[in-house]
Amino acid sequence: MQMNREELEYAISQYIDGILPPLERSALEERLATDAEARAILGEYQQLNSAIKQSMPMPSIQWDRLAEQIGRALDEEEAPTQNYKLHSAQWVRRLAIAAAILLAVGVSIPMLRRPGTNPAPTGLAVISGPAPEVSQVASVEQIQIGPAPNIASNWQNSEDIVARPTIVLIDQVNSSGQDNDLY
Amino acid sequence: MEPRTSDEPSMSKPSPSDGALVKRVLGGDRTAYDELVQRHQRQAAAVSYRLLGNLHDAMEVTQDAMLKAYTSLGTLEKPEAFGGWLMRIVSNLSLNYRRSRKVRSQLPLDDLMGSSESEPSEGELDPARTMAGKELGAKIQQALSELPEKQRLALVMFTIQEMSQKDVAEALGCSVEAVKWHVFQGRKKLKEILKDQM
Repeated sequence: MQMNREELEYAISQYIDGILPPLERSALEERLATDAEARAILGEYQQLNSAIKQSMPMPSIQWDRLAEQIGRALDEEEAPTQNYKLHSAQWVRRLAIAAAILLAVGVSIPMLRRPGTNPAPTGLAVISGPAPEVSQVASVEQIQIGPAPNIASNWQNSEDIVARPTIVLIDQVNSSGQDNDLY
Repeated sequence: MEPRTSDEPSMSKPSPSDGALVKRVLGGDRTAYDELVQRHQRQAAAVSYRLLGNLHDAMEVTQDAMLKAYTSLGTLEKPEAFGGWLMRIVSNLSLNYRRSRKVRSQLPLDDLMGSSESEPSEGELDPARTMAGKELGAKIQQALSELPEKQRLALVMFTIQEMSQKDVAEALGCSVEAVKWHVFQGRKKLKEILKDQM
């Protein structure tokens, strides 16, 4: 298959680095053998590559001294330690996700195994508690009104007072705190 | 054209592995970090130098990056990826440094410089060619600085420093395929910017 200009230049770039895969390399070499323009492009890239590599030669450095300086600076630094925090946090997240998935699967599988049925019946909850208290006191209490017994004999002459009610029914307050209707 | 494997180490790594050294450091063995510094300081300094274009700044950033990597070592999820992770710190600090351009001189740096420049190549012995090479080098540096960050980082780490694709991907926080693409796009743009110079 014929390469376009961009593909040809990309292949040549890899070719001069020696990283073009064997099949593509063979194809390129065949083309270079017959295509003058391709050879010209190869020449341009080789010239450029050579110029780049020689463009800035590294000056001579006393590497041992540089290493010593770095070593002295390192002596003042705190020793590094393995950072487990990030890794453990990732594991916690992964475990939490796995647990959530297992829980979801565990809940959904029994439900899926009952085809055509309604969801399982709701359980009957029996709630026990203290029995309602039965009041030992009469709900209606009679209280006497009127003259005190020790003066009762003195009241017999007074008709208008005797005609008044002598008994008032007072309701007991029920357990809900609300008054019952009067009888 | 010699093939370059994607996980080829960019520099020889004697045993123990980076991962083993990282675990020893986290276990309290500070000397294991000295070994990591010895192993990676050249690449860290070179990447920073090519991003900043200034050796003094690059040395500052390299030291800062080594300290930051040490104090943050507990957050490194893949100890074997220490190299790429360190280069990410180096590139981030370099780009931040480049933006702020703040002047810091807490550590003496002058005595770090070698007695001479790096060995000149055969072509550099010719003054005219040396001058032309320096001019072109300056133009390439300028062109590099105009590229989007990922393309610039990919070119510096992969093409210039010859780091493995895997380490570059780790440093850039992208896939190996994306590294290839960034390198290509960076080269294409550089070619366009420098078309009158080459």
